[in-house]
Amino acid sequence: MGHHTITEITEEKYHFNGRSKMIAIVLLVLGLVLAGIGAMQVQNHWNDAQTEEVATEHAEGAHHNETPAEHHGEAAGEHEAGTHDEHGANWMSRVWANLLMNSYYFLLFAVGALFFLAVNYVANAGWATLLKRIAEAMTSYIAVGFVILFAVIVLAKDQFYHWVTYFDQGLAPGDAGYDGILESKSWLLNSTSLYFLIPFIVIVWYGIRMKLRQNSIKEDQEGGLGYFRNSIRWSAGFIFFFAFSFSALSWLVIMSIDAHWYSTMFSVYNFAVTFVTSLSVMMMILLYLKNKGYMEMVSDEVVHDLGKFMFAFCVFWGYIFLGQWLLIWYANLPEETVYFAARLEGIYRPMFFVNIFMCFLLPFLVLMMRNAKRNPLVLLVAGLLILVGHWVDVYLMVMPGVVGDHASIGLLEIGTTLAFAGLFIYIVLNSLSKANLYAKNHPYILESANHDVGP
Amino acid sequence: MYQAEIRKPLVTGGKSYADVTNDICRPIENKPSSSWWLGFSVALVLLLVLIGTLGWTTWEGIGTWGVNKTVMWGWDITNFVFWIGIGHAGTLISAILLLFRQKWRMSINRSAEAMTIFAVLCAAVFPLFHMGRVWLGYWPLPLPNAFGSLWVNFNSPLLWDVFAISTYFSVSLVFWYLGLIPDIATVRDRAKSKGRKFWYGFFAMGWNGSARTWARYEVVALILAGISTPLVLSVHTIVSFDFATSVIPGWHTTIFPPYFVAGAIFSGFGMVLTLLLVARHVMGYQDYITSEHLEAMCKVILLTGSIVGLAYITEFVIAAYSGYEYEQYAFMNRMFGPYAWAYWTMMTCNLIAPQVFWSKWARTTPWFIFIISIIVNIGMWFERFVIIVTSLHRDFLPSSWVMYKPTWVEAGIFAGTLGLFFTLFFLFAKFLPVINMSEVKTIIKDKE
Amino acid sequence: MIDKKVQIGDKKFTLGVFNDEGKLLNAVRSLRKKEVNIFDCYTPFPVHHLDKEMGIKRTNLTVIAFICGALGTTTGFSLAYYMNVLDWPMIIGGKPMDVTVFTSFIPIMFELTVLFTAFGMVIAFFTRSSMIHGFKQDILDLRQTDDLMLLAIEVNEDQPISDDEIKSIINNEGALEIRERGQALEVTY
Repeated sequence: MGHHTITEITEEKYHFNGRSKMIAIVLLVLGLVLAGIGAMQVQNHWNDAQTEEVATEHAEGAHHNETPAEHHGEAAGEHEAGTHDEHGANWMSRVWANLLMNSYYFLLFAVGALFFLAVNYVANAGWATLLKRIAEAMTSYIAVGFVILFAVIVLAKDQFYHWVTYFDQGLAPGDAGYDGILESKSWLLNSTSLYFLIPFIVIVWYGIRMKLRQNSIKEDQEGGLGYFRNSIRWSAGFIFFFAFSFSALSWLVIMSIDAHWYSTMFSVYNFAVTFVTSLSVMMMILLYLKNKGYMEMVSDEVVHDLGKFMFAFCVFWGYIFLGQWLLIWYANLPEETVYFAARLEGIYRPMFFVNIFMCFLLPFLVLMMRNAKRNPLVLLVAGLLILVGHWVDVYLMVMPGVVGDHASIGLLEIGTTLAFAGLFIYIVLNSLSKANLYAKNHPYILESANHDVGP
Repeated sequence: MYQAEIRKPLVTGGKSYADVTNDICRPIENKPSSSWWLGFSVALVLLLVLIGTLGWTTWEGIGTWGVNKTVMWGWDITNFVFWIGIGHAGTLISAILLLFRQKWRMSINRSAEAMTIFAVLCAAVFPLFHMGRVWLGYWPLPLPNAFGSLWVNFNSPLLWDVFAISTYFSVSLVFWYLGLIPDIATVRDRAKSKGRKFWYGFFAMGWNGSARTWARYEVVALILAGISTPLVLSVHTIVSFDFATSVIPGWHTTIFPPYFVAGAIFSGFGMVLTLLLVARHVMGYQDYITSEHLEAMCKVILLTGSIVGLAYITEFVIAAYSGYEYEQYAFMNRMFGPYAWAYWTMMTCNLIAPQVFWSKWARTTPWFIFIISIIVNIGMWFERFVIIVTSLHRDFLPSSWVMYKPTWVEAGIFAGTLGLFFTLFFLFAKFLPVINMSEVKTIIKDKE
Repeated sequence: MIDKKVQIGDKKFTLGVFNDEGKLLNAVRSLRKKEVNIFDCYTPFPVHHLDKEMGIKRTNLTVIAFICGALGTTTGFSLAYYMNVLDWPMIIGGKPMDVTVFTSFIPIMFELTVLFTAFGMVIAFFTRSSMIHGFKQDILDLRQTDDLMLLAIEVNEDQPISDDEIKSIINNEGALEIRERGQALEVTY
């Protein structure tokens, strides 16, 4: 048993060869093709449905055609953001919504990995040092991922954010359609936030990411403790900045879709999604590499601890979900329940429960047993559950506010997701092949190689 | 276990196993020092104050307190939340830090857990006596009663509190006791007098250090840690539900659960630092509670203080964003209303003061840490005061707006719970090993 | 349920006394190589890997923990459901007390899960380790809870090598001293 101490780290490099490259590219292309077909289907279907709906609405005396003034003149409490936003929806809304949710979702993986790196530095944790390069490679997606997200936001902001179209009208009090609630949010919901605050936040993250990566590579070449200590300082600064900036980002990009609704937990909730999904992606990449015969030094003990982290943050997500849900359900204030009402009624209802099952209950039961966290197959299943579950989670954050009742999951959704997955895999594996798989001069690397979870 | 070269030793002074036993058993086996007697007497006097003021409250009724129809929760619930919060660090240190393999927890977990248990006891005093008729204190239990089959209300956060706090208290007690058993056995085997042999033998449960028992023991400790971690989170979450399930602006906000938990850890670490800095100095345990420990605790203070600060700012920003005038007024009233001084005390103590721990000098200078830890304690008391009193005193109906002032009875009860807390802590320091010997012995050879 | 193996009783033992856990581990390893059956070790603190070296199987107390936890969850739900839904339904805060207020039951279900797990497991631990008042427990040396580590080997015909060989192995691995049972102080609680 474990009395054989490892004292040297083998040098190992990942080769991003033809086959893996091929798979990534095929995923990307196939995804794009499927998304294209899906988009056309949606367009045709939408036009048909639209004609029908107009006909029924006229026949029934059209609740939907009430004037905006009547609609907005109601008390804030009775305002239903969920039904409001679909008014301007067209088939392109669904395409854009797909792009928004996927570009956001995949960006979260990369940001979560950066947080993981920083936390390990700050906590002086040694066990995960062997996994450092995987996390670093994941962070390389931030740049591309953000460019896509930002492009989507800039190009289709009026699709997502009805406050954008509202502010364009420039209404004064007393005008038809004047919305006092939206007016009072203009200090945050404005184009400066969209065009400058969001890029500023992510550029700072990426800058710190570059610094950490540079330190890590230089440490490989030169050794010494200087880069390590420097990274700790940058990590501490990152975590501090991240806490505030991530909140702002999640409010601006996602929460303002349902602009009338607000929840102070929302940013924490998004953070929970970020961390648990990026841990699961990290686990997937690790399992893939081990399957390919790489990373032999990563023992079952380290895999076990990463599995424990997945388990722990599954529970954390469940806790944050319950915290937000319970308080809104309990207090029963209409301006808050509107968010859940839109998701618990109609077409989103099944997905709401799927979300809870796949993000919390099933992985919780699967990962609870000790042996499960040492079995690659079980970990793979748990990881997939979490990733698909949180895809649904983000879907539920974005769709009701953008496309309302016209959402469904079809080729468009699947294709877009596959395309993003292909892109993510390509970028991350490509970055992984650029450096040694082990940060061999990291002062804690041997702790990780000799890690032992104990009883 | 393998340790990286750059890790600093957590026990200094080249201690052997026998040294550890001797050092830590010394206060238990010797006569108490005069400083112990002095501290203990002061604590006892305060305990008498507690008994007196509680007696007066019971005799005269809640009318002796400053609470009124608008501010129906005042110092009592402020103090309740304050003590419960302090009670979070112990289990955090022993459970969460055990799961995170932070070895620096080993010298401080015992006293932090003891603190947890005593703090929860102090906390329990307040809701129990606020019920007015304390002899009916068993009514919140799910018991059948004589007036028909009306049961307790499972929809009520106050009932959740009853379950959460009693579970927390008993599980923490079990966890603490389980950790104590091997050390009690050590004291038992060193005991000279018959009485000591009997009592320590009684509580050691026949522990003999068998490898089989140790193997089981470690698994049990790990599982207990695993379930205690969500338990710690749940307790303060449920305490936050007491407020957040209502519709009162300033109380009803979804971030309350994690924000209260972070605040609890923050205040708990504040109190742990206050106590340990004194204990370390008085008992001469500088080799066991080294500057590494202090630094790590300061970092936790910095982290949780910043999370609390993040929550303050989130609440404030989202209140501004909400477009909901009552919510916005609640926050303006906090900042510029009649209790603004409390709000700014809270902000200064909780958000600004801990930021000094970005400096390494601040994290390694004991007297300075001591000052900051006191400031954190004060700040976290004010946080609860701000949440409770300023949210209540101006409600939806301006005709019911009032001010709240505590009476001498409330002040006496608060001072009295400090007495209860310190009385128990002094007794603990006299009769039980304040540092976990068996755990510390596993790390003294890490650096050789 | 009760672990008979820790009951020393009247058997005859060879005791190796160590003051270093590394030496103890080496001795255990060498003895196990010769397939000597080790009765038990007594240490003042948990020695990492000692259980694995001795060939002690991982405890199944976690199963008990799981069962108790599941029992706690069920109890929590049953309490709430019986009292507030079946026996005396109420409408509080506009929420009729039926199973749709399940959310309200979760906190207490959780607390009872933790409570039952903790107590169930700890009680099982005490029982399994014979740590019950009135039970005989053998303390072979008063310093086994202080700074000495004891290695106990039963002397009987089943051992693959002779007692002298065992003693020489223990000696070679750097034991402070080797005792036979009877020389040590016996304290029984």
